Amino acid sequence: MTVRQDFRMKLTLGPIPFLWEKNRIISFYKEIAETPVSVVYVGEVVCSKRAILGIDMLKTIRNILTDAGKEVVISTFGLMTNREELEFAESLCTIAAPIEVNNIGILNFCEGKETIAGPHLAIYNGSTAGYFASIGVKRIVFMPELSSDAIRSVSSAVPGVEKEIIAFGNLPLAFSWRCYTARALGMSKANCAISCIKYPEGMPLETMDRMPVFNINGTQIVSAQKVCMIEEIDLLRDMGVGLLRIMPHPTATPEIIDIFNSVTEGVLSASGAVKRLRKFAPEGISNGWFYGKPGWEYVGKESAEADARHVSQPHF
Amino acid sequence: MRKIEICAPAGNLPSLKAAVDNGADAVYMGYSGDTNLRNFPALNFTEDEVSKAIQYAHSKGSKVYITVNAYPQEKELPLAYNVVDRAYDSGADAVIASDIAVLSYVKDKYPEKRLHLSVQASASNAQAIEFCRKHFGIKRVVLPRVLTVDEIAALKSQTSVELEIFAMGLLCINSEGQCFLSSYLTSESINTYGACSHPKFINFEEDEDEGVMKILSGSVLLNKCSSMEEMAYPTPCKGRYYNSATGELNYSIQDPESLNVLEILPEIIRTGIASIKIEGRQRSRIYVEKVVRAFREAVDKYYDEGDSRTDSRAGRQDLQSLFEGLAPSVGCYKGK
Repeated sequence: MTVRQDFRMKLTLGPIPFLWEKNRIISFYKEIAETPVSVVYVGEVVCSKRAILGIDMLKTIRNILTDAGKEVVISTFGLMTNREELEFAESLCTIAAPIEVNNIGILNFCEGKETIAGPHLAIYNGSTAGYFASIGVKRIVFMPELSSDAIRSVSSAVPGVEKEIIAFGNLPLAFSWRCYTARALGMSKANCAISCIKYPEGMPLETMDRMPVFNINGTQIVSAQKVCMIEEIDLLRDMGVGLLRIMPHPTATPEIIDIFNSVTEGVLSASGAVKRLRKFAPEGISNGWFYGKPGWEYVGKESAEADARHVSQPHF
Repeated sequence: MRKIEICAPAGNLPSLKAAVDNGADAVYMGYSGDTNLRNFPALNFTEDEVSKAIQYAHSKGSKVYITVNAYPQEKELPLAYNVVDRAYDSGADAVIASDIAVLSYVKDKYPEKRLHLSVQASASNAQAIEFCRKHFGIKRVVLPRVLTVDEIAALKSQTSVELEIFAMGLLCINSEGQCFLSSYLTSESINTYGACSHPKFINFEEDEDEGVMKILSGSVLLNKCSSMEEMAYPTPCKGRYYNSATGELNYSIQDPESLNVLEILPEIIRTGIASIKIEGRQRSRIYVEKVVRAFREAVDKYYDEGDSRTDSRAGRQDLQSLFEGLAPSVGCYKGK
């Protein structure tokens, strides 16, 4: 296995996970243009009813960001069940930009295009990763539940493919036919009135003893805890992971990017960064899956090095 | 006229015989171990039992499908390939798989054999199905429980691949293969390990203040209940949570319910799908016997009389009583 320990990790910005107002999205990306992220994923992943940015608007955002030197990728739905959704996805593939494929059917629309295997494709082993490499996928974004062993195995099987990991934000945990937001408000998905737009940070769910655990995001469930992989950057780099994905935060995205950038530039320690990042994750931070533990747990660096025996989750 | 296939579960030989004897056209089953999605203790088939099962089913004109539908880690791939070899060598009529490495293996080594795409592959639209037909030669897809009857009928007109849907049993509310709720609480992935909310992670603790029982997944509280008798099997999707936005405590993800499409069977048959699947390889021989018989009667009645409904309220209750603590539901088949 070739280990390249000297390259600098690139930062990417994932697609906006929750539904925000259109104007807010535009001003958000103008702000992002000024940040040190290298790649920006744009587009709706969760629900076709909230794909409020039309093709023209997506092109405008692409232009703002490419003018600022960013690579812009168009993201696509994770779950599609009808012809209308497929037609919309197909129209996205006409935009001159690489496509993040989150549903395998999208690949049929991508002939001749640059493609990225998104975190919603089931890539659990090196052989499957090799298949995607063989059909020309240029980058793989790891599924959130992969352990470090699985990441190492997948990564080493496809040295020529770029590897990306979700490094900060709520993790995607499930897609459903049901709109959980509408249901919480006594409505069905068919009559949802796009009510999720009123919850730009989702609807947090807590257990009966008040531990934050999940978060309702329309037809998706995401984690309450925010994954934080900043203490694992050196490990990830040694495994060939070159891109760190930060998920958009409703108010503090540039600040979070700045913290990550300071670490990759070597001017801030990882432990210092964790301290600062915690304030953007009041429900707690997590990295458990990486260590083969429950996804919601956080294994601190010192304890990870001490054979990952001690697990702490102080931020309930 | 060719009738819709009834595809029944078998976790052991007695269940397989019950399925075949009560009119199942096909039975699906797995080898012991974590190569398939019902990896529970004392379940599934040894080498010898697989041969016996296939022999028995074939002698009565029923087909046997072997599930190899967990997602293997790299080091587990040789075993998955080996199970594929053994399944076809034993005379299985099809292998059900989801992982792309396994699908590719079947396509390369057994291009003439039947390959079914597992529900865990999350293929719920015409393009995803077409991709897997073109690249892996699948003959059938088991659809995730995320489509309405109307969407299934539309899908049927857009693909040459046979469609199979779930008709009875546990009701996954999230797209199968794309749900990590249990993994998030327990560390063990349903996709790789093959069991959602495995019993070894379920803990019970007495809440002395309230006099109720706490049900935990790992160390995370799923529910509290006063009577254990009417409790549904605890999975994270059927837990109770506080929704901080509405302030309400309820079953935020799914009410305790199970799937039963007997009431809408004629509509389902008219979509033109090839097969209806009964969930429950982990269940008893009695379950298999009762459910298969009920579906056999209903399907035959439909083809004889154009209607499948019976007036037997007692029969319906008897069937639902197999699902402790769960109310019957048609999922999203009648609308979202």
